[in-house]
Amino acid sequence: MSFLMQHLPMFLIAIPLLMAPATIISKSYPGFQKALDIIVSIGLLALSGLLIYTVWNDGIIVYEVGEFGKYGIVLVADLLSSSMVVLSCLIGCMGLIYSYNYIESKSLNLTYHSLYNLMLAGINGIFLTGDIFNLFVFFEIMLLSSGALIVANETSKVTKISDKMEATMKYIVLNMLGSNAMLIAVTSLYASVGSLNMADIALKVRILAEAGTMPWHMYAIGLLFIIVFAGKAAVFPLHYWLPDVHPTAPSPISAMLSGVIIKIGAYGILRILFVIFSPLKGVYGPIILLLALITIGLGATAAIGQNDVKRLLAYSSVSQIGYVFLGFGMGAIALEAGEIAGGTLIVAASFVYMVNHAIAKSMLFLTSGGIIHHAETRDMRKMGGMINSNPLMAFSFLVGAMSIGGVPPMGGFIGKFSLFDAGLRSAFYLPIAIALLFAVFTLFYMFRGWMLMFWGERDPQYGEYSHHKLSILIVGPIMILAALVFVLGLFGNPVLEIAQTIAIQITDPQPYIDAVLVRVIR
Amino acid sequence: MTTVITKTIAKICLMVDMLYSIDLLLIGGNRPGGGFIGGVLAACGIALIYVAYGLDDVKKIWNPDWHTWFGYGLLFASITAWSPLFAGHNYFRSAFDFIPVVVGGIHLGEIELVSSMFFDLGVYFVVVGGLLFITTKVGTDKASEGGK
Amino acid sequence: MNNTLLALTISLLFGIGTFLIFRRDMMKVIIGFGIISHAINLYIVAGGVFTEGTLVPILEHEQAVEGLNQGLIYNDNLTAGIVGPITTNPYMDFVDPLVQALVLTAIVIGLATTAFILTLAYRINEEYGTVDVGELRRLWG
Repeated sequence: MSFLMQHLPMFLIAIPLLMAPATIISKSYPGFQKALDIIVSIGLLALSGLLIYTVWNDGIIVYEVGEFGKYGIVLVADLLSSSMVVLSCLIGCMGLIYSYNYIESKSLNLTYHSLYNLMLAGINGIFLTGDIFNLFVFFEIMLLSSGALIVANETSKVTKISDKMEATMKYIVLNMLGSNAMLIAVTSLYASVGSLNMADIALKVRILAEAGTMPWHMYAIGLLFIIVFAGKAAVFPLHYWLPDVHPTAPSPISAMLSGVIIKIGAYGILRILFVIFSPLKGVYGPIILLLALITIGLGATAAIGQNDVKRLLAYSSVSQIGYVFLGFGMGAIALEAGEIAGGTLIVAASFVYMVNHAIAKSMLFLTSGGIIHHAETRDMRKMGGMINSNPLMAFSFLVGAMSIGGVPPMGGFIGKFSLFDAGLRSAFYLPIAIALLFAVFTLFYMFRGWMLMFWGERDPQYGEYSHHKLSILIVGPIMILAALVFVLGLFGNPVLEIAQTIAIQITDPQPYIDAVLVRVIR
Repeated sequence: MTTVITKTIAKICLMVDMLYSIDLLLIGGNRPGGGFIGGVLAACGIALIYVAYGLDDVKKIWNPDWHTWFGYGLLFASITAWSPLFAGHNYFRSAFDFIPVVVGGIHLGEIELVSSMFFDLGVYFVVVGGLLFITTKVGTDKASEGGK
Repeated sequence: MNNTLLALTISLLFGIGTFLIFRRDMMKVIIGFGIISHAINLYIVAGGVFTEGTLVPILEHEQAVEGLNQGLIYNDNLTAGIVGPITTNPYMDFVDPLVQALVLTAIVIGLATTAFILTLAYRINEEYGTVDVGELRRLWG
C-alpha cells in the first residue's frame, strides 16, 4: 500500500503508457485485449479517485521523475490537477466502454486501443506535470494520438472518411501552429528566468515583479501562452477548427475532445493566470474577459442555425467554453483589485461550470452517437418522432440539454447560477448581462434540437428507423453520466463548497511553490 | 531504380549503415548518439533496400510486421522506465556501473553499463518500427500508381 | 557578431516558413512547418549562453569546491531568499546543456508530427485527387 501511495501520481501516466504497447502486442486476441483494457481503465479511475482523496486529506503531492530534484521533471498533484485527472479518467473509461460496439472492429483491434491509451497518458500528463517543457511534450502526445483517433472508422457509415481527413488536417495544422508558438514561449521563458519548473518560474516572476524589473518581453510571453491555450480551448479568434473536428470524429472521441481536451486549454489558462504569471493577471484578465464574451455570443448565435446534431453540440461547446473563460477573466480582475473572497468565488463557480459542462457534453456526444446509429443520418431535419422508437435517447438528450441550458434540477444550473451570482457580487454587470442574454439562446438551441429530433413525425421519404437494438455497452456509459449530471445538480451545495476549497488553492500560488521547492533536495 | 548498380550499392550501404546505427545506439550514453538517431539511420538503410529491390520482391523473402516491432519497442522502453520501482527508486531513475575487465590478472579496462541504454534500445525499435510501418503502408497503396 | 548572424538566420527561416505556410499547395505548407520547426530549434539553442571560450558546466570535484568558494550557488535556499542557480560571482561562463536536451526532444517531436501529417496529406490526395488547400471545401468552419 505504501508502495502504491508513494508512486501514486506517476501511475496515472505510466499505466496508460504501458498499456499502449500491450494492446498492440495482444492485437491477435481481441477478446483478451478488450477485457484487459477495460479492467485497466476502471482501475485507473479508481486510482484517480484515490489520488484526489489523498490530496484532499494530505495536501499537495510532489513526485520527482528520475530523482533530479527541481531540475528534473516533477509531477505535482494539487486539487485542481487531481480533479481534472478524475474527470479525464471517468470520461475516458466511459468512452472506451462505449467504443466496443461503436468503432469498426478492424480499426478497433489494430490501433484504436493503443492510441486511446496514449491519449489518456498525454491528457493525464498535461494535468499532472509541473514542468513546462514536459507540458509541451505531453501536448504533442495528446495531439498526435487524438488526431489519429479522429480518423478511426465507425460501424455506421454516416461520416465520410474524406470529411474526417479534412477535419483532421485542420486540427493538426492549427495545433501545430499552437505547438510552435508554445515552444517559442517556453524557450523565451527559459532564456529569461533560467528555469522550466513551473513553481520555480512562478517564484522568479514574482521576485521580478516585486523588484519592479519585469522585462517587457515577459508580457509578450504570457500573451503567447494565452494564445496557445485559447487555441486549444477554441476561444474566439481560434475557434473555427472545432465545429469541423468534433462532429466528424467518432462519437466517443468527440466526447473526449469536447469533454476533456478543450478543458486542457482552460486548465492551462488557470495555471498561467494564477500560478506562473500571477503578478500579471490584471493585465491578462480583461483580454480573456473580452475574448470570452465574443466566444459566447458567436458560438450561441452559430448554434441556432445548425441542422447537424453533432455540429450543434460542437458550436454549443464553443459557447460554453466561453462561459468558463468569462469566469477566469472576471476572477483575475477581481483578484487583482483585491477582492480575494469575490474572486475566489468566481473561480470556484467557473470550475463547477467546467466540470458540469465536461460531464454533460460528453454525455450528449455519446447520446448523439446512439441517435446517429438509430437514424443513420446526422441531419436533424431528417429525423423526428424518435421519442416513440427510442425513448432512452430522448430522455438522456433531454437531461443533457437541460444541464447545458441551465434548467434547475441539473448540474448545469448550479454552474450557471453560481457563476452569475458571483459575477454580480463583484459588480460585473455588463458582462453578466451579455452572458445572461446568450444563456437564453442556449436554452433555445438545445430545445430546438431536441424537438426537431424527438417530437413530430419522421418524413416518410427518409424511410423507417433501423430496428437494431442499442447494446448495453452503448447505453450503460450514457446512463452513468446522466446519473452524474443529476447528482451534481441535486447536491449543489457540497459541490460548491468543494469547489470553493479548490479555488482557494488555485488562486494562491504560494502553497504550490512551497510544495515543490521547499523540500529536502536529494 | 532497380539497376544492378543501385542494388549493389544498397547492399554495401545497408551493412555500413546498420553497423554505424548500432554504434550510435551503444555510445548514446556519453557521446552524441542514442536510440533515436540510430533508429532513423537503420530505418533509412532498410528503406533503401526497399527502394532498390522493390517492395514486393523484398516482402517475398522478408516481411516482418513493423507494427509489432513498434509495440515491442514501446513495451521494452516502458518496462525499463518501470524497473527502478522494484529497486525502491522513482520512475525513470537511471543507474550506471563500471565493470572492470580483467583477463589473467591483467586489468584491460572498464565496461560502462548504463540502464538508460535499455531505454535507448526500446526507442530504437520504436523508431525503426514506426518509420518502416508508415513506409510500407504508404508504399503498398496501389491506388497511387499510374495517377488514377 | 555571432549572435547577430544567428538572429538573422532565425528570422530568415521564420520568414521563409511563414511564406510557405500561406501557399495553397499542402506539400508546401508541410515544408513550411518543417522550416519553422528548424527555426525554433535554432532559437532554442540560441537560448543558451553563447559567448567566446565557454565550457560546459560539468565540473570536477575540485572545480566544484572552488566554485563554491567563489560564490557559485548550486541549490535554492528559500529562507535566505536565494533561488538557484545563480552565479553571483561568475566562476566561469556556462554553455547550458539543458537547451540541447530540449532541442533533441523538439526534433523528435517534429519528426513524429511531420510523418503523421505527410501520411495524412497523402491519404487526402488519394481521396480528393488534389493537394490544393483551396479545393478542400466540403466542410465549412
